Amino acid sequence: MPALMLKLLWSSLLIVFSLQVVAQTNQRDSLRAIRKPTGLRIGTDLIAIGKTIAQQPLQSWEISADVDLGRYYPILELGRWSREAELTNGLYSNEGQYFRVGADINFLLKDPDKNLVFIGMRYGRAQYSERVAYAVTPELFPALQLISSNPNAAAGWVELTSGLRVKVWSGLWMGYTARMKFLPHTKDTPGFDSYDIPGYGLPFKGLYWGFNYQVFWRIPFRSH
Amino acid sequence: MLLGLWGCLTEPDCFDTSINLVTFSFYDAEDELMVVEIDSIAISGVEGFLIPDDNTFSSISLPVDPAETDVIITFYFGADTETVSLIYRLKTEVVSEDCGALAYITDLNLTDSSFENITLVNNRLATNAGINVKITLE
Repeated sequence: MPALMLKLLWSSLLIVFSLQVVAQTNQRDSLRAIRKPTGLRIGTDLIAIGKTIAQQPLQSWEISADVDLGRYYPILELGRWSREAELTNGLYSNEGQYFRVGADINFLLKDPDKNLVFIGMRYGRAQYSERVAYAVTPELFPALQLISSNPNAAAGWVELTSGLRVKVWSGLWMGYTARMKFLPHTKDTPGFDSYDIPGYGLPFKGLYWGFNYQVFWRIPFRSH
Repeated sequence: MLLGLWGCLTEPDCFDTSINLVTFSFYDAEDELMVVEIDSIAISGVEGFLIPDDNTFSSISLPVDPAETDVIITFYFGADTETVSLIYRLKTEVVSEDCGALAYITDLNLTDSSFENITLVNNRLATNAGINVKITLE
């Protein structure tokens, strides 16, 4: 008998909870719902291009593509990165490609141009090679020139993003993305612990900041 | 702001503890440090013999070649000789642009020895690693 009572109580609670969820869903602003995408926006990072043109030690490019699903914007970012760092006793270099996948949530729900002020999240993966050549002076033995490398390294990380994207003219959009990168993890690094991860930066910092100033072109989908 | 500050405060420090010296310590049967008298020491890869300034000591740090992966060290006690064979590998650490890259000798292992009682205490060579090899003499 107590078991039957308990079952009845659980069933009642479940029914009440379900009804409450349905009621809340009905009250939810329809602007927050997932909708059919209306266009594809393709962009690139101007800072990366600027650094590459200026022959900075970090050479990179990055392209991104996102679609609108109501206020949600799934996004894919692809990039390539090579860095040279002069050490006090040698030279470090790396080269590789990376991607990030994630989504942004827009907080400008009623903007007719679909401008964005967003926060989002990404998961990033990189495939790269890195090499360090350096000199050491051991006790009693002659000075040595050492070379160590990770030819097939891989890494992953997580990012929290924030930024804005504004329609400038027709399909042209501009904006920025600030990134807080964390939880870097590497594998296949037999030579040495990775010093610089393409798409991430310096993993020993634990938390790493990134900034992209971006330009986009939006291709609207045809409505049927 | 705190997260930003954390990012700034996590710059690596230039603590270079890399070294190519293996530290041997000699103990008696009561596990107390004991002073030994050694005439000379030969290290594979080093021409000639090392003759310590003070040939009585209880601990001595001896160099190994970072370009190699093994070493044979021979201690000459008068007419007696004792040998120790060790293997190791070199591990690179890129610290930062300012601190550079460091070469640590690690995974030190005993492969052979004529000492009857010898143990590996620490398999990493570093200025703060203390004793690497403990030799107990009866």
